[in-house]
Formats: sequence, C-alpha cells, structure tokens
Amino acid sequence: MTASRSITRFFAALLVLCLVGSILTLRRLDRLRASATLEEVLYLPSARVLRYLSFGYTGLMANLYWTRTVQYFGRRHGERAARFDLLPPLLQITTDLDPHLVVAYKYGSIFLAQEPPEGAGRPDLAVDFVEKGIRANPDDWQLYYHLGFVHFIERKDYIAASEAFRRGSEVPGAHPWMKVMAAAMAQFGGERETARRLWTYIHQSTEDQYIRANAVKRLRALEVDDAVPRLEERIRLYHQRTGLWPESWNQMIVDGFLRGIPLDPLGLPYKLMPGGRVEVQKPEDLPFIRHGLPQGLAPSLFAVPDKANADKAKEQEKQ
Amino acid sequence: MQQGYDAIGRLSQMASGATTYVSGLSFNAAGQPQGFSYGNGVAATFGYNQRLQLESLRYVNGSQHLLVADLSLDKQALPAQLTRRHLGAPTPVAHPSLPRFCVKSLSGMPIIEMNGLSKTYTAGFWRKKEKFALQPLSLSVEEGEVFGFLGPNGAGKTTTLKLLMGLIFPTAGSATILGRDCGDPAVKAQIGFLPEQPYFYDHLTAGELLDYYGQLSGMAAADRARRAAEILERVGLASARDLALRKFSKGMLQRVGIAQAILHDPKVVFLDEPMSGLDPIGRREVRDLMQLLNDEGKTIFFSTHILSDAEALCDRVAILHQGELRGVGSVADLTSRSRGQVEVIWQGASAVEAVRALGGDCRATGETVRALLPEDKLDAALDALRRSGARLTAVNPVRSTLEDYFVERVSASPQEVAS
Amino acid sequence: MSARLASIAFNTFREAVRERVLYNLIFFALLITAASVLVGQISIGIERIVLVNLGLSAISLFGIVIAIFIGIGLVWKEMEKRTLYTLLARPVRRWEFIVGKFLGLVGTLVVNAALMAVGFFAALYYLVHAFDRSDLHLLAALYFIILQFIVVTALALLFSSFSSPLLSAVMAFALFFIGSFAEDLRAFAQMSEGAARWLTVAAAHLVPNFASLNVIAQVAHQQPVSADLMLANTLYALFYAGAALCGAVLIFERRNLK
Repeated sequence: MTASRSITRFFAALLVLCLVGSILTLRRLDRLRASATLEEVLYLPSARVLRYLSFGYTGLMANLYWTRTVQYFGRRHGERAARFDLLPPLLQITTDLDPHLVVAYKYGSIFLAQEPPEGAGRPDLAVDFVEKGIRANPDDWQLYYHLGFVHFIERKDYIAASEAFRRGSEVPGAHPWMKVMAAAMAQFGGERETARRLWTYIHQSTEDQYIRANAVKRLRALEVDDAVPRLEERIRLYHQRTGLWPESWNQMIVDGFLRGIPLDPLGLPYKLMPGGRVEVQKPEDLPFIRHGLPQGLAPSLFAVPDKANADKAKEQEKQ
Repeated sequence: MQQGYDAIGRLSQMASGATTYVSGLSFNAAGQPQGFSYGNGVAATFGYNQRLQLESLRYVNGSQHLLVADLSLDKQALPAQLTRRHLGAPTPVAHPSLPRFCVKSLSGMPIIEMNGLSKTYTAGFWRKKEKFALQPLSLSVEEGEVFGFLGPNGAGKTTTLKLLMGLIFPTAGSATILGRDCGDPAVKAQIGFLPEQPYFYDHLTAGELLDYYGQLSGMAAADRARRAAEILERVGLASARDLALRKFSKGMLQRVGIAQAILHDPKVVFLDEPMSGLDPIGRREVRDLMQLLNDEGKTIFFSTHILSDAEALCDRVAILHQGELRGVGSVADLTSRSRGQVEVIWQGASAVEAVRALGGDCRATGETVRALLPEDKLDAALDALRRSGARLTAVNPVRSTLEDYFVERVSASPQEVAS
Repeated sequence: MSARLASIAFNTFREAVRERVLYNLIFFALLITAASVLVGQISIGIERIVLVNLGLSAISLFGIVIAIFIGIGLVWKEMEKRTLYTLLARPVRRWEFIVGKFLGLVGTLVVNAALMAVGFFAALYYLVHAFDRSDLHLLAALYFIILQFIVVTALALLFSSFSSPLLSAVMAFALFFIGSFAEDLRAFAQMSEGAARWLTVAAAHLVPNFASLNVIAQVAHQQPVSADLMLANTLYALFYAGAALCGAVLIFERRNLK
C-alpha cells in the first residue's frame, strides 16, 4: 500500500541516468564553449554597461572577471600562445568594476609585461595599468614595487625603475627595502651620485644592521669603482708623458702625478700592477666592486654593471 | 417460523406523523402485504394513509433468507407486491409504482477489507512524539451494504478514508478494495470519493470539472457529456453547469462533490461527512440520493457523526473513538434491543387509573395521555383501554437507539471494548 | 496514460490562462514597441543589436519569472487546497500528475514565448525593414530560451513538491542566478583545494547550466550558433529537467497528503 515499489525503482534509476547524462553533456558543453565564453567580452562595450548589469554587486562581478582573466591567461599560456588579445580588456573591465582589486594590478602587470609565451609582451600597457592602480590605491606601496620591476626587467629602464621604487619608498608603511631597491636601480642606471645619496641615506636612517652593513659595502664599492678608473687614468697619463709604466706609487708621487698613496675604503693601499692596472688588496672584503679586481676574477653577480663606462668602452672599440 | 416474513419496522400515520413499531408482516395469497403484528403478536391490518417503513424484513425459507432494506407501502397505491431477489439472482425486479421499494440481498462477499490498518504520525522537532491517529483497524464491508463509520470529531474517520483512498500511507497493515490493494489505480476506476469539505479548481465550471474528471477516469467523450448532464440533473445542479466553481455555495459544492464521485458509475462510493454543512432539506436530499445509489447496487461507505442519518441509512455501523474501533454491528440488531418497555399513547383520560394500576407511568396533556409500562403488561393495558372506550393512537416499543449504543461504546474504557 | 497526461497538461494550461498569466504579454508588447521606437533616437548604428538584446532578454526573463512563480505552486497549491483529494481518488498515477503539470506549464510558456516572438519579429521588421538569413540564428536563440524554460520549470516543480512557495521561490531564483554563472563556478571549483574541492566541484556540476543556453549576445552580433552546441544543449536540458522531474516524482509518490 505504500508507494509502488516498481515505480520507485524505475524513477530512481531514471534519476541516476539523467544526472549522469547531464554531467557528461555538461563536460562536452564546456569543451565546446571554452573558446566561446570569453568572446562575449568583446560584445560588452564597456565596464559601465557591466556595472549597470551587476545591480550594484560590482565587487562580485569584478571577482568573476578576475577569475575569467586568470582562466584565460592560464589557457593561453598552456597553449604557448603568441597573442593574448583579450587580456588587456579583461583587466580593464576587472579594475573598472573594482578599482581596489589590487591583486589584479599586481598579477595583471606580470601577465601583461612578460615576453610571450610567458605573457602578453606588452610592458608599456603594463606600466599604464599599474599606474592606474596606483592612482586608485595610493597607499599600496607594493604596486610601486611591481611598477619598478616592470621597468627594470622588461623595459630595462633603470631610471624609471629607480624612480618607481623611490616613490614607493615614501608611502607610509613601505618596506625599508624599497629604498634599497631604488638605490640599486639607480646604480644600474649609472646614476652613481643618486645611488651614493640613496645608500648614504639608507645607512643613516635604517635600524636594520644587515641593511646598514649592506649599505656600507655598496658605498665602498662605489668608492672603489670611482677611484680605480681615475687611478688608471693617471697611470696612462704617466705612461704617455714618460713612455714607461710606473713601478710604484712613490714613483708617481715623486714625479708629481699623485699627492699621496691611494688607499681603498678598507684603508689598504691599492696595488699597482704591471701594465697600468690597479687592483685592490683584498677583493674578498670588497664585494660589489667592478673595478680593481684581480685578473681572472669575475665581478660579483650583484655588482652593478657599469653602464657609463661600458658605453665608453664600446665607443672606444668602435674607434 | 419455517417460512414467512420476519419483520421489524415502523408504521407511520401519514396524517398525524405518529409512528408505531411493528414486527411481522402478513400477506394475502396474492403476495400482497395486508397486515402486521405488534411485537407481542397482536395482529392488525393496514389502515388508510399509512406508510410502512420496514427496517428489517426477512423472508425465511429453510436456509435462504432475504433482507429488505426499506419497504414503504402507501396503502393508496395498493395493490403492492413484494418483490424479492433470491440469493444469487442477478437483478432485482422492482415494481414501478413503488420506487422506494427494493429487496436487497447481501452476498456476504467483502468488498472492502481492512487488516490491521493503522497510522501513526510523528511530531515534534526530533520526530519523537507519536500521535496514534488510527490504531490497528480490521474491518470488512460487504458488497451492497450501506456502511456507516461513526465517531466523534477527531476519532480517525477521515484518516481511515484517506488511507483507503491512497492519499496517505499506513504505518502498518493493509487494505483491499474489490480484492485489490487500495493503492492500485485499477481499483480507482471503480470507486468514487467525496472528501469532507470538498474543494475544487476555482477556475473551472461545474461542467468543465466533470468533463475533466471524466477524462481522468477514462470515460469516452460522448459518455462524459451524457453522464455529466445526467448527474448534474440528479444532484440538482443542472442550472449551475456553466457557473464557475468559485461562486458555488457550500451546499452546491457538496453536490458537485457527490456528482464527481458517482460520475463514472463506480461500484463503491466513499463519502466523508456527506451531510456536513447542509441545511435540513439538503441533508434529506443527500440521504435520499445515497439510498438511491444503494438501490442501484452500489456499496456505500460513509463517515458521519450524525447518528440519525446513520440509523436511517445504514445496514451496519462501526464506531470509532480516539483512533480505536469501539464497536461494529448491524443497525437492525443494535436498535432492536428492546428495553423491555412499551409506550402507549391514547385519547381519553378515563383509562388512566387502570393503566396506572398496571404499573404504568402516565402523563396527561389535555385529552392525550402518554404512558410507559412494562412490555408484559401491554395486553392488559390495551384491554383496559378498549373497555374504557379510549381511542388508541400509538403503541411504540421503547427501543434502544443507536445513540444509546454509541454513547455506551464511546464511554467504555478500552478494556471493556475488547469484551 | 497519454490521454491522462494530455488532460492534466491541458488543465494546467487552462488554469494559467484563466489566472491571467498571459496579461504579461501586454507589458511585453509595450516594452518592445517603446524600445523599437526610441532606440533609433538614442543611439547610432546599434539599433538592431539593442532591439535583439532587449527583446530576447525580455522573452527569456519574463518566461523564467512566470515559470518560477507558477511552477512553485503547481504541487503545493493543490496539496494545500486539497484539490488533490478527489483527483488522486481517480485512476491517475501520482507520477502522471507531476509530468502532466510539467507539460502544461511548459506548454503555457511556449505559447507565451511564441506570442512574444511574433511581436518581437514585428518590431524587428519595423526597424530594419528586411529579414536576412542571419536572422535564422534568432530562432536558435529562441529555441535555447525554451530549453531554459524546461529546466527552470522542472526545478520549480521539484521544489513545489516539498517546500513552501516562499522558500521555493528563493531557491529557484538563487539557482537561476548561480546557474547563469555556472561556468565560472566550475572554474572556481577547479581552483579550490583540499577537502572542500570535491564538494565544490560536485556542486558546480549539479547547478543548472544556464550560461550555455544564453546566446543572445551572440545572435545580436549576427554570429551563428553551431549545430554541435544545439545538440549538446538539447541533451543537457532534457537530462537535467528529467533528473529534476524524477526527483519530484520520487518525493511526491511517497508524500502523505494533509
């Protein structure tokens, strides 16, 4: 007298069949739609329209679009695509809907800036994009960090990178390393005076002993990188005048080319090598130097390439 | 009696409406009823303008017996002939001048059988509290019966009906109708149901509703139209055929309910409180209709808490109280139990003393005297009255009514019920 | 059996009509007329796009709202009002009742949408003064809208079999909303980790997938709809609605009526 058992069994079986069928068809649909989904983006003229459509739930919509952006990027990346055409509009829409969705700026800039197939290869767009983020979120110092890196790595514009880090370092609560990065970037850019100023400032202002120690080393390296070429210049002058390479510093002092024995930042005299080269006595105590290294010893990876002198060297080679 | 009629009934005077209980019926050679006898064997012949309504009439001939449900003889319409249907004979033959006369035999075949049918509701947040809406109920209803299901409100009558209709499912037990499980759709084509306070689709008219229900019952289009018109006529709603159901009064809805219950000519009709909410005229009409349906051979199973209806209509009744079955029996049996007293009514104050002397309790209102006296003193009393020239109006055995039985069973404790 | 199904379906349709559901067509007609007249005045070059977007979206939304509002009461109302008592006492199986109601409501929605479509095409003709082959894609979009109706109706019916109208309405609308973003939900689920992952993946696959049934933007730009998509969508809608209906039947078969 209860519900007929055969009917129950039939419909229960049918239910399972239909559920399984629906899930299988769903997967097929997803495959069919994979390319179609995001083309809808092209049909939506602007974030403003979307804003209206989301009935005020713009934050949710922004999250949705961010997810879609990530999905899109991931798929294209997986396909080793050369073009990421939808990436800029997706990012724009996401951040127009929610300008405070900082993660979009951060990762978005990376997606945009990196060379294909790692990214869209549009560092210029990336810069504009992060700047937009900075305008909307002036208190987020990390955005400057991302901006600086785009300039540094993809655009190789060290001055701009340094400026970005500098601006970021002035945001209250910024990580102290921002100044460090600004200084390092400046040094990369050949802006030694800027670098020296920054390192000095860091040295004076930081409480972190490691940072201070690092600043000291950097300043010393700067000093060495300044002193050694000057000394070598003097030695060439001597050679030009006398036709001989000097044997010692004293000889140069006696002949009036030097006022005193040149000392490195550690207080040790530089070594005068045959052929007019100058070396430091203890290279291991002077990390980050580029000049004054014994022959065969490569500069530290963290040593800053000497852009100014490298340019000069290139010019000399041409001649 | 080896052969002859054994009857219990009421003889009523058409003019005054006074009624007398009679038993026994005598017939002339042509098979026409000509007289009756009182319970004590005193014989009398029919006068004019008398209606004899028999509650129980049995023709005994050896092992056969026939049961007559209702026999109304209007003396003015004589000659009347008893018609009878023997056991096993297919169709009754009814005399056209006696539309209310029908001989009915009960075949003894159960058409509805309930076996330990019970329903328990669990209530409360953790579903712990149990409410026993219906205790295990075992009952059977014979084909052709009018079966009354009595009980006070909340006794479980509607629950039982809903279980039989398959609207709710039993916690235990089973029930069959026409030999099949009551949930079987094949059974549903042969039964009709009128729920308590029926409600129908507001947006339909009566005609549309019957047409729709006819479709669902599998009736062909031509049949539907014809039957619908017939039925509406029968329940008195012919003029309301195109009226929207939302405009129907309660009484009209009740009639529509009956109409849809009998539309497809079912073998069994289930009615839940069919008389509820009707005015006396409506109730009378419904009662007559139910009787008519039974005359056509349908089994009627209905629930009610109005005992007079049950007494008038039913062959058998069951009494339900607080979900328990408290008693089952045929109405004839239950109401034939004499209380051992007789009520005599006459005109003529002179015989009062004589009757009082016999031990009767007399009450006089002007010339009319009413007296209650023991059964065995009836003969002596009637003699006294005849001698004093009093005019006898009525002699009524004081019988227990269905109400007495009902009250007795309902107030019995469960232990007593079992006995 | 089919006679009974047809009978119940027709009665459901009749009830909806008599409950004045079709009056929503008036509102739609006004909307579409206003749009076609005004759109030329407020923008340049995108009249057709706006009309198609607006018209088809309205057909879809109106229909879904009707589907939910009527669907959630289909079974509930009959149980509350006890109209089922006399109905189920007839040789009608309970599952026939559910399926019949479903067919009736879907039929109502199809009729409603068809009438709207006539109005829509009339407005389109008024605007562009000619039809071309790419307008066939509009029919594909309409077909998908009907599939949406089928899914929503089945869901509403499922809720109606066990839940009160208010709760059913909330659940139905919520599922519609979530279902519109079902693809994104599946993307979210793929990105999640840990114990919650299986739960979210399962949930994401059980939510009705309305996203793929919405090709309105596509056809507004006169892009074609692939036959593959039509087949897959049809199958999906039928399977999903079938599952919901089976659920409704299973629940209703064992319900004790009040």
